[in-house]
Amino acid sequence: MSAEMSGPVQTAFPILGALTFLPLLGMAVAFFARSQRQAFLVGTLSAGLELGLALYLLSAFDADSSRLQFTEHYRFLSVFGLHFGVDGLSVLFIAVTALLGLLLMLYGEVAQERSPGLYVANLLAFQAALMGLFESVNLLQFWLLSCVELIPATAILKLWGTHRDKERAVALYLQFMASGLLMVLAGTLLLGWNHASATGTWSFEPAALLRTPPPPLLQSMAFVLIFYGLAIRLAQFPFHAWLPEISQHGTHATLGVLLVGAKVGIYALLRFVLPLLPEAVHFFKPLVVGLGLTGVFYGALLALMQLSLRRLLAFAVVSQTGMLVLGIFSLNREGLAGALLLSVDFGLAAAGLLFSAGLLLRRAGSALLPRLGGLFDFMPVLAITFLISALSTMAMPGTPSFDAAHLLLEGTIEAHASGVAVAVAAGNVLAAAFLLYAFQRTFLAQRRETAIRPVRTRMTLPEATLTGIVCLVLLGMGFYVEPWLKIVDKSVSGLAENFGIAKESPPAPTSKVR
Amino acid sequence: MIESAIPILSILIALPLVSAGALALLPDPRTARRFALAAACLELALSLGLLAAFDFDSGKTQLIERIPWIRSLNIAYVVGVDGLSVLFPFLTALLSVAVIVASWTQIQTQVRLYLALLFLLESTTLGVFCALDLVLFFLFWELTLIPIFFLISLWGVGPQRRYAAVKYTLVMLAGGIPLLFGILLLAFNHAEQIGLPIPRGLSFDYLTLLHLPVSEEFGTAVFFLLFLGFAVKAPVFPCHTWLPTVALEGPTGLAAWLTGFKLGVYGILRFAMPMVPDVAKHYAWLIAGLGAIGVVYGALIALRETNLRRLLAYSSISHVGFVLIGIASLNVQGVQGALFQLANFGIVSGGMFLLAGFLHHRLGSTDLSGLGGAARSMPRLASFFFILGLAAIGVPGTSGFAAEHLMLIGAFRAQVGTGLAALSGIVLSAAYFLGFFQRAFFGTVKLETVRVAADLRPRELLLAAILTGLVILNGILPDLVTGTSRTAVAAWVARINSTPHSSAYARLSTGEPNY
Repeated sequence: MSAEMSGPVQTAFPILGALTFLPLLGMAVAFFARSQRQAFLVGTLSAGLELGLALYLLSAFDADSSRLQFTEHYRFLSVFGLHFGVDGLSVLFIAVTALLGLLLMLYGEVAQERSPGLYVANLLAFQAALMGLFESVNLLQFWLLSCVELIPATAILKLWGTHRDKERAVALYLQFMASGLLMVLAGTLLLGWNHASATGTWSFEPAALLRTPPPPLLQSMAFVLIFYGLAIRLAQFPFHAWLPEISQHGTHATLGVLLVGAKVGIYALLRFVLPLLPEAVHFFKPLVVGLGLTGVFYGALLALMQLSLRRLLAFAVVSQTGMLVLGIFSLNREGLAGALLLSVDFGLAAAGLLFSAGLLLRRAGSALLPRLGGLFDFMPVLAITFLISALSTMAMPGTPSFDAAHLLLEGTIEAHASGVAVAVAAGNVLAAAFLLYAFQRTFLAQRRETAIRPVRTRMTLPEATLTGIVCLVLLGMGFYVEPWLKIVDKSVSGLAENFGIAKESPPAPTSKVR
Repeated sequence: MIESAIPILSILIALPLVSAGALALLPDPRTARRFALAAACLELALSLGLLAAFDFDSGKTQLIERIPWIRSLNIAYVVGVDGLSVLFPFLTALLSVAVIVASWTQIQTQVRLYLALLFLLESTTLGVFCALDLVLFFLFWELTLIPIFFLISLWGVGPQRRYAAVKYTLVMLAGGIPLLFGILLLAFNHAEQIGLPIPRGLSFDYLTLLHLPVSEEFGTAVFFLLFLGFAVKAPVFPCHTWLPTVALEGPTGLAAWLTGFKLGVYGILRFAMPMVPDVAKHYAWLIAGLGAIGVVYGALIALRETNLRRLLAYSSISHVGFVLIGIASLNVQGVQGALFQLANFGIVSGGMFLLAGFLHHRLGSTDLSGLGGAARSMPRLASFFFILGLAAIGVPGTSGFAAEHLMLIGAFRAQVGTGLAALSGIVLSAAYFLGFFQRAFFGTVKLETVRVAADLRPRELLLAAILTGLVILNGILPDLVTGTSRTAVAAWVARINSTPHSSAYARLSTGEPNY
């Protein structure tokens, strides 16, 4: 097998290209849909096919190799090229994006009547952009696609936002994202310029950039620019302010699912920042760890104080992000594997929470916790979906997050003082606190005088399918994590070897304790 | 290592889960109840089969089943039982039958969900008793929280039930952290000792880890992390505040379950001490001290309680302290008595809470203000309650006597001071129980509700009679219980005492081992 692996693996069928362009095709068709029904039919078909492709990719993916697979190059106008590839770092994200696409079609949220196909087309465009992002192995291409991602996101927020103040949310979102993107661009250009001054040609391929490691000062500058640029997209504390706003003012679930379900920022950290800027990563590690820890607690505490379920979920994401960043910056195999799996699981779990909250809002009409209560009898299926997603978020054993969080803790103990690991675990209990609180307030608590009495409606078939898929995937992955671990293992080991100097010595924790 | 032909433990763990699933198909509450009772009885029969299949002469772990689970982290599904744990599957099955029977008419809303959650709780509790892989153990350990959360918050009898549910869950989750870290440290230690890099060198297998020495500082951390994790669940003295809340607000069936199965004490006995024997021996004084405080503190508070359910909760805290003293004596009598008492709790504390539940169901209260002269209208309930109470005090002829007697001998042999504390606990327990019993059941009848209350119905009578019968049977023939664990306890004590570098302090404070 190793003989075939000598060069980048090229496949006959350009599956990555297909994954990116299939939603675009669906988008073009959806534009011409005459009715909502038609549009959603097109969307579901396209998303279903996409999921099929993603599953095929997952099965064809060779977990025993840490190389980029299925690579594809496209050249346009000899200036701009597209370079696609997947490895263990991205293949799960791609699967999740495909799954979320289908779930969103099933969810089918449309608040107002506009031209019928527009909503579906936007969703598909967003999915295409996300697919492109996760397949990008070129830094500049990643940046360009990040800009493209803004277009459907803004459109969804602007056209289907549910609140009077959504203009403000749109402005806030764009300001945050634009500054983040500018920082990432500056960092990208810095690296490219460094490469150009050393070799005479501009390149943004990680493989090429690796050959010209920048001097320490330049590395630090690039790290600060790119990391904090990405931190905005990640909603990492203290750059998270946009997320609660848009989740309160935006669509119920759609935008949130796409923005936090698919962890683009985590992918970029793993793909670009860690391999390209190893020294700066080491240098800034304490600062980042401090921010991550603060984020875990800050997010959890603010989530505890929220009155609106929608804002509560946003702060839950802020808390999760802190944990993921901590895992990544443990810089060893367990921590990285844990963080990667956990970001996939958290993505799914957050989507599950948002979907069930969204479906709940559709019936109850309010997201204010004081106005909810006693809804368990009315919507038991939703309650259970919410609970399973919540348990997954608090890394309960039996959900996929447990094994991932367990790995992440192992990595954290190995890399940082075990105090950090304890803090992460304690943060997780806080997460449990606010989620249980939200669950109780919404589903179990006595209904107050002011509470809403929802009409008892049956779940439609798509809604039932949606909740079914969410529960099944979360529980199914939870009790058998082995295959997923195997998929990410090789790539993550390769990444950890960059930082492997410390790993040559016998395992860290014992030496620390002695 | 004895592998089993029929996976009886897995069947025991899986059967309640299957029954819980099957309940979804039975919309009628009456059918659901009958089905649940049948399934629980089948489980009880199976657990008797387990006792029959177990070889009591061997001190080894038996009926082991091993299936690889997460290969890259060396996590496996391993279950097995030894003399320390073999009685508990039977008790779990017995108490779940008892709880189902006791809540036959008490639970009127969402009956199917209640029964399904009860089965889930039974399955995870069985998993806790049988798991021999630390991660698997932790999985079952944490999974018990989900049914308990719902049982408290949906069927609790108190107005603060939701607060109680969240309090319980958060306290337990917080207690889970040190437990998880202790488990991780053990696995790290394994990797270091056999000299393999981290993911490959990890091991979570109980039997493997048991034979691996743990370095001293590492061992201290492991011991305290595990002990803290288990102490919260037990509950050991400073971590006990959740129990009175849950006992007062939660459904009585669940309170019976929580006081009946001291999973935390079982964890200390099974994991925290044998994993790091020399550290455990070194800190035996700490365990004994916490136990002694718990005995006196729990009993004193119980003396002042006017609500039967809170009284039972504090008496349970006092009993846990007693058991800790027994364990910390580190000799055969003490540990044997502690294990006996753990098995006893399932019947005695569980039974008393179920009877308290009957009382609450009739009168709507278990507070003194709502009782008074209750024996007049409910003589049978009062007498069964009295017998179980005597067992809790440790009066000769009941199973409590055998257990407390053994523990007292052990405690006095190890350390006279803790022995005295334990003795005072017995005296105080007689005081609070008899005092409450007199005020609640004798005297003049003040309330109309008490006057017209019906005595035990046949269903309840049968249940109480069976539990009381077991109490007396074990009191007359204590060998029935001690015989199951004799070899295992001897091995346990030998393991703790025979460590090469045990400290001089521990030798002084525990006395020389005598075999």
